Amino acid sequence: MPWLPSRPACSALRWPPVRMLLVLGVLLTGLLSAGRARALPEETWLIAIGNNSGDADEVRLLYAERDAREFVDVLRSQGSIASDRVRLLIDENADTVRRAILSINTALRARAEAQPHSTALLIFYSGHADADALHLRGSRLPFEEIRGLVTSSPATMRLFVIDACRSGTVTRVKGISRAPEFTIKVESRIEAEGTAIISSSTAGESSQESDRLRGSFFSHHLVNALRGAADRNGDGRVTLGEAYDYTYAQTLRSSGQTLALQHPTYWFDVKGSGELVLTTAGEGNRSSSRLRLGPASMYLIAEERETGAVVAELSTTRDRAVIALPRGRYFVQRRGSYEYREYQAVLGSTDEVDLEQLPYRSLRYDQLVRKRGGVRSSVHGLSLLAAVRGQVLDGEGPTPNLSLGYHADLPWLTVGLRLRGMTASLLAIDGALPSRRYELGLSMMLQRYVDLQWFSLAFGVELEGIYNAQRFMPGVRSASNRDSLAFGVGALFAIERQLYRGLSLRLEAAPKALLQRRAVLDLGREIGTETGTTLTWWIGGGPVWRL
Amino acid sequence: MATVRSAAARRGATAGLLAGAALLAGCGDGIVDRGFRGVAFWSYDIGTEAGAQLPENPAPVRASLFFAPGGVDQLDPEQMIELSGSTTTVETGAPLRMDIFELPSREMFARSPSGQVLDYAVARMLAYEDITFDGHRQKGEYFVGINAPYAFLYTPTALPAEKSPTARALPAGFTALLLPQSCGQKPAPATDPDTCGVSLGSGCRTAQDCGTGGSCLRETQLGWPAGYCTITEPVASGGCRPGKSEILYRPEYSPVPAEIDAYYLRRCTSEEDCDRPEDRDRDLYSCDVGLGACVPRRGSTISLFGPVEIASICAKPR
Repeated sequence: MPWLPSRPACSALRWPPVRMLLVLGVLLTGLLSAGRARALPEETWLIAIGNNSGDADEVRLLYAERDAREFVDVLRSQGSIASDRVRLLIDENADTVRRAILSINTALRARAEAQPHSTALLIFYSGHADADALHLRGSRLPFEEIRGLVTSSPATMRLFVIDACRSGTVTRVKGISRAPEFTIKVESRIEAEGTAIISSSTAGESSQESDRLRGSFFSHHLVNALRGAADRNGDGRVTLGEAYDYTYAQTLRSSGQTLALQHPTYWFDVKGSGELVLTTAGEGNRSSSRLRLGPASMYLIAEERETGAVVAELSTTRDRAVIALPRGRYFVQRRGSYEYREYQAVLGSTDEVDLEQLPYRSLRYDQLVRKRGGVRSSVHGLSLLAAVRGQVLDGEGPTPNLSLGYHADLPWLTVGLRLRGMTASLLAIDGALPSRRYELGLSMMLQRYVDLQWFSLAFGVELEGIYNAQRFMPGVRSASNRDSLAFGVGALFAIERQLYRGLSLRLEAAPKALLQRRAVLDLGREIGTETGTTLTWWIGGGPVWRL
Repeated sequence: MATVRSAAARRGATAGLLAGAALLAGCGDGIVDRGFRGVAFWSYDIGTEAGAQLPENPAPVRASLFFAPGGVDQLDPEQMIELSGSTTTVETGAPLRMDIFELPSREMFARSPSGQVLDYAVARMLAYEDITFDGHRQKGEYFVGINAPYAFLYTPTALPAEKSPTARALPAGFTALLLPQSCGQKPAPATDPDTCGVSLGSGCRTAQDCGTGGSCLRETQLGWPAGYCTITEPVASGGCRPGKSEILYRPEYSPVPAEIDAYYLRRCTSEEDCDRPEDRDRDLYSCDVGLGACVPRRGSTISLFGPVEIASICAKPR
């Protein structure tokens, strides 16, 4: 089961041939110098367009409008964009979008003529599109026209983010090769001026939505990036470069769990500037609180409880990363190498909550597989057991055994292979004829686990093929060495307790039956052979290492 | 339909599993437990009988070959060494098969009066009460029976006559010797190069069946099945002593009439020489290589809880 069930946000078959699209001019000022705490210039305008409805024959999207709202929320709270400079256009047609851009351009021009200063314009679009135009509730807004609108904008810095199928046409990236690392940075402190465009996919790819994330992969990860997940250097600020790199990696990872990969692309033409900072998630504000995460890992953050709406699925590359979230109660799941740790975090009046200071519940991956949860469909493990088996041959007594096992925990059962070795010495009834028997067994095990709070119980069956070698020591008596095959079946009962990370201690016991070829004796002399069953027992224990 | 098919598939899988298991378990040699004592070098069948002094609750009775390092003249069983690879449990009244799973060690071999180790080892089959239940005779455990008519000789290689205690060449391995052995002794020179007209070794009911001068031997220390034509020593005055014969002296501790010193027996060099076509069971007699004569193949017993009397291997003529 993919972790992120998804669907393409648009149909590939209905798209016209890809045509190289003009570069959109999106105006943006507000390039922030490295020393500034504020993310964007005071006069930053944001137009967020979300349209679930495209053309009449297009599948209605579920989360495009929500993507736009989320983008607005994060930039208002973490990017400090004033509410009166935000235009949220939900389910509007091309005329409305056109008028909104014209209106902002007019306002910017009037202000610039009165007093030149840094300004920025951000346009975010989530919805249907093709290589020529945005599809807006039955109407179309050609990219040529948008280019005219934005290039005529007096904003000094322009950023256009488009989350739509084949949106790579606007960045002219058609292939799926990784673009060079995104950097907009110069040494001088002169203000930036220019255009940057980020698209959710290449010219030939679909952009996908996820029911689990309640949004598109791309927008979800972009919002998380702006919340602080992308803050690679830990300075509390998320630059455009950091946001893109993070979004690229996470979108690729998420789409990798589906049938179609999705590669975000970018294009930019910027002159001057320091780093282009979009949000200051690490500094907090009145409407949100900060959650300081633990070691670099993947985190799932949901509202209230595990089954709550997913707020963020993010992957941090830095220990102790800080994420800005609206105040509230959250379920946080950290997916480590060996286990999940689940926390309940309440972001309230305090500025920052440290996850590492909270109690947590630990869940191993094998337990998750058995619960049919988590991201893995199987967990592989090795075991090394020392065991004692009850007497099989009269005179041998209980024998020591050593076994090396491999197993795979699957959702319904655990399948394993085990290689077992045993050796035992034997003396004839009159104390003579010393011999040694070697037994090598290869078994297949099927087990069912029951996970309890402190330990797991397992029960199952084991089928074993056995090779027997009986070797007689040179001496006063004469006997030829013997080799034979046997078959064993056992009913396994086991208990396992996790010790550390993937390491567990296993204790097991089993009644066993062996079907083997035995000599028929008469007064110490062999007079024939027969195939018979021997009932015995098995008890053992040792470490189990799950990979 | 799907249900039927899946049930059939399950049955098929189960049958396949069982068949595979049986096939797997049927391959190769049979493994052995502590009851396995090895490959028997030699086996000897004998009967058992209870003597007059049978105790009510005897300890297990074992029988073993006890070797006499002192050679043919050693008669004290306490000086003999048990061959543990020959030990077997005796059930009174039941036939006994003694398997010899190991060969005598060097210390069991006979020695000359000078202490030199000879090329053979001689043994007696003795029974004892295994009071300690350990499968071996310990000091203090009583001998309660003996296979009195026979001694046993082992030689690793064929033994030439000059080195043989019986004065006859013996084959390699174990040999059962009917006692007493003549050991090269003869009571008197032969008077007839043949058998004095007596069909030595033939079956008989009475002496008349054997011809003039002959006797019908029925019992010495063991039975002679279907009778055995012989000539007894001493022969009557002027009687005939067969040259083509071998001598069996009067066994010690036997019911043989006191006036008989020895019996002249049919000479043999192979088992075929002892074949008796007239017998219903033609396997009654075999060739005793120590005596060079045909003697009963079976019929000896271990008498338990009776007197344990060990006879000399070589005859001591009166």
